[in-house]
Order: sequence, then structure tokens, then C-alpha cells
Amino acid sequence: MQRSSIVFWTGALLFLAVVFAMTQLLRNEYPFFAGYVILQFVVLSVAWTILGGYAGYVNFGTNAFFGVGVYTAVLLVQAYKAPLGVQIAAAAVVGSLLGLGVGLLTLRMRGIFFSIATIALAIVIETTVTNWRFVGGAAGIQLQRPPVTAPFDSYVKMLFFVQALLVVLAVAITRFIQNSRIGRGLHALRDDELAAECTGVPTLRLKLLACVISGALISAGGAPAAMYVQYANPDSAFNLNYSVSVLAMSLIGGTSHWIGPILGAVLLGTTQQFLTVTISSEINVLVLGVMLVVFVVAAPKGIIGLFGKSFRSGGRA
Amino acid sequence: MFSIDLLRDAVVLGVLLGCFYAAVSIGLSISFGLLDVPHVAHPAFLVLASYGVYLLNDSYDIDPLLAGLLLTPLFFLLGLVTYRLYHETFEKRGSDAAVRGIAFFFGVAFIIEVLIILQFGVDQRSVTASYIGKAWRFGDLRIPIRQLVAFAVAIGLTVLLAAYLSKTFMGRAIRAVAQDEEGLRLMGANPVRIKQVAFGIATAVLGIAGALLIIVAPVEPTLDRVYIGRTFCVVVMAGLGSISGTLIASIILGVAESIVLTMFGASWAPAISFALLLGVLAVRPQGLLGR
Amino acid sequence: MTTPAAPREPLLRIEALTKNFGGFIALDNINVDIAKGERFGLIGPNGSGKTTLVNCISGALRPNKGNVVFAGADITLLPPNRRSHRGIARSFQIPRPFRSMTVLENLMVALDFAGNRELLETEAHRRDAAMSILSRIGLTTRATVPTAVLTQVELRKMELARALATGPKLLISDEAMAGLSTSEVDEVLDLLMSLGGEDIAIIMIEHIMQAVMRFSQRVMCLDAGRIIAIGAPSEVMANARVQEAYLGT
Repeated sequence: MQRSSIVFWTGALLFLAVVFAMTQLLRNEYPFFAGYVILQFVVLSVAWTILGGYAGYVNFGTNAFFGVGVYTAVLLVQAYKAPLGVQIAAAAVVGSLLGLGVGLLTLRMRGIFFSIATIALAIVIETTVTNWRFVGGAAGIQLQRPPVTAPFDSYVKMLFFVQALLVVLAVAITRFIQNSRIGRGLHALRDDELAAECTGVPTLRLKLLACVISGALISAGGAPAAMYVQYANPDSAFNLNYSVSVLAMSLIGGTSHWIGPILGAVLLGTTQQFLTVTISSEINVLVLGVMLVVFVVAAPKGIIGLFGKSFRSGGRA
Repeated sequence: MFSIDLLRDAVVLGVLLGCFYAAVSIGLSISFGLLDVPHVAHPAFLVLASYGVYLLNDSYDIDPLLAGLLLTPLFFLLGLVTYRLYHETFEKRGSDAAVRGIAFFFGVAFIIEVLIILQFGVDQRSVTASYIGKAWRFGDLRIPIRQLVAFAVAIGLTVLLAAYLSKTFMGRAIRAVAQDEEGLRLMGANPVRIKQVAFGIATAVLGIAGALLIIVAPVEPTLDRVYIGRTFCVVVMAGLGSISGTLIASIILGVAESIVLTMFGASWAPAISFALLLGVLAVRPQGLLGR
Repeated sequence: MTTPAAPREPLLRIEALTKNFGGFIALDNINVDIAKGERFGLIGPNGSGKTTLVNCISGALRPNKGNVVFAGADITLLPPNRRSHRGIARSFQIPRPFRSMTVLENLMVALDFAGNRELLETEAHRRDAAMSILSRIGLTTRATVPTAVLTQVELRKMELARALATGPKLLISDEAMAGLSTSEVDEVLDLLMSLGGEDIAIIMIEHIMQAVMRFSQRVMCLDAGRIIAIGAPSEVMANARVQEAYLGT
């Protein structure tokens, strides 16, 4: 194994160990409630970056993938009382299929047209779910948590740990893509699709791959949200705020390296949690908007762009 | 159940609705269609104008249409400033301007939403005028006068703008800048100045459009989200930048929404514009009626 | 008009190729063979269909009629990346580097996805291969700079180097000398000539006539989507229709 890989996996295991220790030692549930949301946004932002950052196809349909993840979980709980692991795995499968659909859109459109199409896709799916009685329709649906499994003493702590596992999974996959020729191919097609194609890059296959993986991870990251809030309705599961938050987090952190979206999600996620509690959720959205505008205007390459060359696109770590 | 009469009524109301959609989309047809600015905050500006009209109507009892007219110079200035900012930060710096531009305008839209919420709260707001609440009856078809007002103003606005773009010097320059910026520069004109004015006009029109929006139905701060679908659907379907196309595409959307509303109920209505948009983008990205 | 037989076994065969854009006929029934290692000049006034032909060969466009046969296989319907794997490479009229990458990384893209990967198993092998191409092109010192800081001639060379990195049997150079100084033109021309010696066939699109004359074994002239002359450079230049197409109107 390369040195950077040893460092990475040591860090990942250390992170999981700390998370696990927290669930065993801390009594207060609140940090886990807040922490869960931050970890969730890390998964979403890192996964988003595969398509939106590396490949340059800006997906505004994060809420579609998120909502599909939530409702896959809802459906499985309603119909089969499926356990959490099955919910997440199924959400990943459905998310990858939706990703395949989005990937086919890239055949015909790019740039802003692709972005608008993904918004449209999200609304069409949301409307379908709104009209689907079995999963609660527009009014939403209450969900009963099953008893928590050992070694955890509360369901939220368990969800926190599960989301931490998803973080490691998402980051490991994204890091692998960045360091393999897939990453170089995606960067090439982002810079110039025709030139990439003429240089031998199988652009269609790479785009489909990026869409499928990104979609599967976003849906998987969204699936536990059903059990986290014990309630789901289309309005919140498909809320456009997810798309804008994830976009903001990725752009603020920087999209040329997997560390960027992590930084952005932790920074913005923590700020949001803090503001929601201390002031109001409106201010929270205001800050989101202002940070997005400020960063896009003043620091187009995000936080990692401010720290010079070590995270230049295509750079390896 | 479904009948020919119902269908006829749905089509009539759909045409009226469609003309109203033309009025709210026509600005975007200039800013996105002609100037290539990914202006997803267009509907947020629209809702902002509605709240401006609400304020003037509520505080000073000014007629909503007049209030909208009073707002146009203000919105013209807003447009000039917005384009300047967009140009300096994105177009000038070149690469991936569209991608970062769309993120920028999303941020702007969110800021406007929140500012409206902070000022007016999340409740619906509406305006009062003599023609609001009354209706004309044609047999068993009932047409609210507010719809007719919106229809008439929308048609007037479209005709006026189409004439401006084809008959006046500035209007022709705007069309030219969309097609051949370099050529215009060689002729000694300043394309950035022309685009700035065009964007100003596109935004000024929102004063009137915002008045129509709040005349037709009450508004709420996040109303802009569903109008992202409607306005972009219209502009893409119209074939980017075509004013007459905008009117036709709007009517198609209005009739489609109206028929779906009659046949399947209101809960399916929000998806119509987006489904149409998706279909058009997938099959004919250059627009149904386009160049 | 007689079409002289290609000197050796054909590498590329264009059969009855036709391409329309709406009602506009960009290419009208083009037939031509290009041999292994041949140096082939393609000339014609602006809008005569040169770049359209290149796009049909490299796969950026699909013809409405006719076939493109390469090394004995019909590739008319293959996407550009599969054609690249079979040995067709090109440069662009306006350079299209991967702007977020360094010069070396631009070449690495080609090597990462090359069709023939036997000698390119490891990253280190690919890096060596990229450096050896850069040294042949004369860009070694620029390997680690971003493409944004390259001069015009360096950009042109980088595109040729990237095309070479795909391991081509046919290289299409689309006005690689446009906007270069006389000495730079000679430099690029020498480079292209040296490649011809390695059994890489080259189609050179060019407006600089001296360069075409010096370079080409055969020249073809297009006008309004049709072949108006093909043959030895001096014959084609002497052709009345060619002179009319260039000098008339």
C-alpha cells in the first residue's frame, strides 16, 4: 500500500473509533442529533462532488436523490418492516438507477441545461410521491423506530455511527476515483468533452459511472433520515434546500479534491446547526445564500483553492 | 366526470393562464434566451416585485397595475446592477461562468426569499382592486376578471416588447449582440453596455409581471420555486430568445396545466411544467419553435 | 478528373461520404484513399468542408451517407474514443487543451486511456512514455506548467504531443500552424515530417501553401464540399479550378 493510503485508512479507522467511543461514553443525545446532520451533509457533498466537481456536471437534483433515499426506506419499512441496513442498501440501488437516468440526460445536454433538467426531475419525482397514498401522500407518514440493537443504547446514537460509516465509505470511493484514471478522465471531459473523446477517453461510460456512484451514495446518505426524524413528507424530503446546501458546501470547500466538500460540509453544517438553535432557521437559510454568493464571487476555487497548489485538481493524496 | 364542455372550459382558462405565463417569462426570454445569463433568480425577482406591489397597494392604496408600473424604473436599475456584477465576476473571468453563475443566482434567490420572510412573514399576501373578485359569465363558463386583466396586460406587454426588439435601434442591437457579439464590437458598439441595458429591460418588465402575479392569486415568499419550472419551461420550449415563441409556448403550458388540473386534480399541476421542460430538453434542446 | 491510385495499401478509405447541415451540403460524395505512412495535404477555401471531413474521420460528426473504413474495418458509426483506440488522432483548429491540467497531465490522459496498454501497465511507465514524447516534441521543460501559460506555438506542439500519446496510425493536423511565425512554422513542419518516417500517416490541413507543398506527397483540394483536384502537389497547384477557388472571387 502507498504511504498516502496508509495515512488515509489510519485516519478513517481513528475517526470511526472516536465516533464509536462517543456513542458509548456520552450520555446527552443532543450532540448526536446535531452531529448526525453534519455527517449526513459530508456524505451528500462528497458524493455530489464526483459528478458536480470532477465531471463538471452541476447536479441540482440532490434533493431528488435524497428524497428517493428517504422514500425507499419508508416504503421498505411500511411494506416489510425491513431493517436499517436493508433500507440503506436498497436506497443505494434505487439511487444508482436514478443516477443512470440522470446519466442518460448528459447525452443530450450539459451546462445550465443539465442543471435545469435535474431540478425538473426532482419536482416530477416529488409530485409522483405526493400522489402516492401508500407512502403517505402529501400529508406525510409517521414511522415507528424498531428497538435499538446493542452495543448502542439509543437509536440516534446508532444512526450517528451508521452515518459515520457512510462517510468513510463515500470518502474512500471518492478518493479512489480521484486517484485512479477515472478521475483523470472525468477532469478531462470537464475541461473539454470533445477533446477528451478524441484523446481516447470513453466519456459516456465515465459520465454514467459518475452519475451512478454519486446517485447511489446520495440516496444511501438520505435513507437513514426517515428513521432519524421518524416522519417523512414529500415537502421536506425533496426540499430544494438540500440541493442548495450541498452545492454551497461543495463550492465553499472546493471541488477539485475530496477534502474540499468535507471542509465545506463541516464548516457550513456546523454553522447551520448553531444558527438554527440560537437564532432561527430563516437566518440559517440567509447565511447559506450569502456564503454561497460570497464564495462563488470571491473564492471560486473554494477554501482549498486558498491554500495553494497542494490540492490542485488532479493532484494525488 | 370528463366532458367536451369541461375540456372547452379548460382550454379557454388555459389560454388566459398561458398569456399570464408569457408576461412572467418574457424577461427571462431576454436574459437567458438572448443573453445566456443563467438567471434562476428571475422568479425570485418576480416575487420580490409582487411584494413591492403589495406594499404600495396596502400602504397607499395604489392600484396594483399602477404600482407595478411605478416599480419598473427601480427594477430597471436593479437589472443594470445585477448584470454588471454578473459580468464582472463571471463573464469576464471566462471559464465555467455558466456553472458558477447558476450557483450565484441560486444564492441570490435564497437571499431574496429570506429577506421577504423576515419582512413580511411566511403568510400569503394579496392586493385589493375593484376588478379583483368579480367574474364574467359566458353560459356556464365563469371567467374571473383578474384573469382577463392579466391576459390583456400580458398581450400588450408581449406586443410592445416584440415591437421594441424589432423596430428600435437599441432593440435590434440587443438581438444582434445575442447572435454575433464580435461583429457588433467590430462595428464600434459596446456589447457589454447593450447587454446591460437588455438585462435592465428584462428586469424592469418584472415590475408589471409581479403586479400580475399578485393580481391573479395571493403570493408567498417561496412561490418563486415553482416558477423556476414554469419560466424556464416556457423559454426553452420557445426556442431561446424568441418573443413570439414565448407567447405560444406559454399558451401550450397554460392549456396543458389547465387540462391536467381538470382531469387529475391540483396535486399533479406542479409537475406539468417540469415534465414538459424535461421532455423538450431531452428531445429537442433547441426548443419546439426555435431557431 | 482522374484519381491517382494511392501509392500503397490504403490505411483510410473514405467511400461516398456525404454530410448535410439542414439544407446545406457540407460534403458531397467524397471518395479518397490514404496509404500507410502517407503525408497528405488537404487544402481548400474557408467553408469548403475540410474541417467537416476531419470531424467525420475522427468521429465528432456522423455522415449522412457513405462509409469511413480504417485499417480494413468500417468505423463509420464508432464514437471518437473507439476511433482513437484504433489509431486515429487529431489536433484542433483552435487548440483545446485540458485547461485545469499541466502539459504532462494532458498527455497522461491519452496514455491512461490508450487502446494499446501493453507497455503502459503502471503509472511510472506511462509517465516515462509521456516524458519521452515531450522530449521529442521539445517541451520537456514545460512538462509541469499549467497549459494556461503556454505560448501559441507551445500549445500547438502540446496538442500534437497529446495526439501522439494515443499511439496513432493516422494523425490529423487541423491548421496546426495558423498564427505562427515563419520560423515556428518550419519547426512544426519538421516535426510533422519526422513523424511521417515512422509510418504514421498524416493528413495536414493548412492554408500556408509553402508548408503544404514542402510537406505533402499528395494534395487534395476541396471546394463547396467537393474534390476539385487531387494528386502531386505541383499538379494540384497548377490546376485552373484550384487557382480559381483560391484567387477568384
